[in-house]
Amino acid sequence: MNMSLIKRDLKLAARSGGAWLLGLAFFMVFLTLTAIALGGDANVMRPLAPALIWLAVILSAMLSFSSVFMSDYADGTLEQLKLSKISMLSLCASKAAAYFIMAIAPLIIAAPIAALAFDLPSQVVWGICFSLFFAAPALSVYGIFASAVMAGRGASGFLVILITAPFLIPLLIFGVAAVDSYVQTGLSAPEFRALAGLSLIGSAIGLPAAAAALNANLE
Amino acid sequence: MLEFGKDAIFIWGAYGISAAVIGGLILRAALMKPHD
Amino acid sequence: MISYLANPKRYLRFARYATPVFGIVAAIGFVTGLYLALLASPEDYQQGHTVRIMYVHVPAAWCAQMAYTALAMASLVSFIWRHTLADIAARAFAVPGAAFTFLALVTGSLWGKPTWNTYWQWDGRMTSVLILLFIYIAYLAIWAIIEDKKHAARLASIFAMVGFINIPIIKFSVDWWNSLHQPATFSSPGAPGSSSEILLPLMTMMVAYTALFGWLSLRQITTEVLRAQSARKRQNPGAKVTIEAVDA
Repeated sequence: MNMSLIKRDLKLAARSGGAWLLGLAFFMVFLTLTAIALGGDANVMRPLAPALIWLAVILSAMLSFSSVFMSDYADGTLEQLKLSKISMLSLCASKAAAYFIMAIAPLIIAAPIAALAFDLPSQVVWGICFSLFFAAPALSVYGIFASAVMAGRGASGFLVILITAPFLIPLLIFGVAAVDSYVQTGLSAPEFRALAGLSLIGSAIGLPAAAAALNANLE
Repeated sequence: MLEFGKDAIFIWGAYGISAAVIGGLILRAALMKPHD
Repeated sequence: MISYLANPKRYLRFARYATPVFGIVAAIGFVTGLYLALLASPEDYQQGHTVRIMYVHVPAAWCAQMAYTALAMASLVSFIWRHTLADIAARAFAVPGAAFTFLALVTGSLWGKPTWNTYWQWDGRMTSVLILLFIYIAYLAIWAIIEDKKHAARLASIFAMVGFINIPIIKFSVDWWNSLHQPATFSSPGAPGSSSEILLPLMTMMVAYTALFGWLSLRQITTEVLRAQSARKRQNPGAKVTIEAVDA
């Protein structure tokens, strides 16, 4: 993990005129459309809310994956980084950290606001935030992996989604379940441990795989 | 046809589509040309 | 054995006799298996004749998973040793594997309708097989989209390995999820007992499907190996020497 790389990504995002907010915008649009489609009845939506919010997070994340390495590959920065002493593994870890800050953290912050829209009790809101937090490393890492595989290819959005979807499904399963369990048993619920485990395994697999994919793309 | 009762169409459907897909795979492989 | 076969010449010699062997085993297996499955086996006590669908569903599902394992192993070899034959093998396993996955889903669906009056159920096994189909499609898409095939092979092998490690995780998650949301009685059509009358057609079809997979893969690998060889020969013809004059 390289602090200067993370700072660079954050600075670029800040200067990009809000492009990094795409995920957040999709998140809000998706939930609004969902509420409208379901008729706006709080009694109908309340039990579905954890699932819908999780769905919104996963979909909005999948949309933002393809852009992770896109500009760096296009302007040659990636090749420069490879020539420098920075390992691809360190680069991927930094990218994952930056992605978490720019893409996931805003969603975790926005989730309570979304929960308001569904008239959720505060316990459920905490459950959603915690479950997203525990799942965030895996989510970020698999996104970096898919983006690394498709680095430099033009219209690769759909393939990035196809690549990540199978690996995000366990996160979705345990994430939604964790929200329900949090209400009963708090953070000691086994689902949080499952999410933590998924994040650890995901990072252990995904980061080296992403580094290997970047190396393959830069050969 | 063999007497499979009311569910015959499902059985024939399953075997039929299996035969179709497997037939397609075999055709695809047969048309490959290993020039020996 | 893998390093023995890695030499293309040795592989070709092996394939020369192995391919027809697989082919014949598959042919005999299917003829016998179909006879046993459709004619010479009894109906099930509970499911009636629909149990016969099991004889095409279970072998397809087994081949789907075995094909992916083979694909992942070939990808590992390809990634570590950068061996063209491993690339060719991994790619050869993918199309039949995906086809068997599709068949497993369709036959499973047709088995479900007469059994519980629904074409699809989000139960553990069917959901896992559906996710496996997504993984196959993504793998094939990587090969299709990336023009430089050596490059595609590298990326595809990385993806295949990540997918392989994830499959037990996905299976575990989906089974756990299914146990939460479905009442315990809602399980996939189970193999109704293990009487030999059921096992014999099932095992015969398993052998037939597996041999077929072997035959299909060998055909594609052999074709690709020969194609790669002739391409190389065209690029590097042997040196030509002409003698212009001989001084006595």
